[in-house]
Amino acid sequence: MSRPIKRIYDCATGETIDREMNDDEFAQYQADQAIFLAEKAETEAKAAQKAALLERLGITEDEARLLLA
Amino acid sequence: MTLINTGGTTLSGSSTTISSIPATYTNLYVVIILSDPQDDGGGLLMRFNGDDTANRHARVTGGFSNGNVTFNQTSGQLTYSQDNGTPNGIVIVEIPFYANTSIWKYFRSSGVVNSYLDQAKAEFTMTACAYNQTGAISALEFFFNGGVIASGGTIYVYGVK
Repeated sequence: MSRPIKRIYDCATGETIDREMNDDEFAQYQADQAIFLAEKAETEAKAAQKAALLERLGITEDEARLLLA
Repeated sequence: MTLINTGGTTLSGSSTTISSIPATYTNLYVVIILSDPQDDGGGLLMRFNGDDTANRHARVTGGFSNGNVTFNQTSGQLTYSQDNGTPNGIVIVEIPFYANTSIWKYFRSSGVVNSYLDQAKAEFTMTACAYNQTGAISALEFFFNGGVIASGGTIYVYGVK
């Protein structure tokens, strides 16, 4: 399976190179992906909690902001 | 102010690096017209010198850090939570004294993208990042944490005297 491509632009030569990630770069890429997925899950869980709370209170997001202003 | 990467560089693949940045300017000013991340909710990040060694980058978002920010990152964050179907994003990054060889490196950035939680709303970010190395910066690596760059977008790196 091919790996993700990295683009490198060299300001000295004006050349652009596109190449596959090496082993270290691919390991870092996978680590970054894992962090992203964890953060995304947390963001979505908080958004769902917020929506559920607003529904329980029977107010809109704008009305909640007004209360806290 | 002089455009260093002639014509701008199109974002592509998993990351895009601007390398061999000449040390002849005082500051760098970067403008990024954002493309889509492959995965909904992705954010754009940047590494000084493409350095992904652990514990060299520290980042804050949107304010005062209380003096307790640890160098526990491998990059700085430029945007968060971008929708992957509406490429309306732009970011500016300022890097002072990037070629100095005796101080930590630093950037501050601000930008806006379409929020993936509500595409009609804007997701603003104001971030900062410190890099605890003193070598001159000669490369900037940009990447989405939400997979590869789906399409388009352009990086413009300007040198400021």
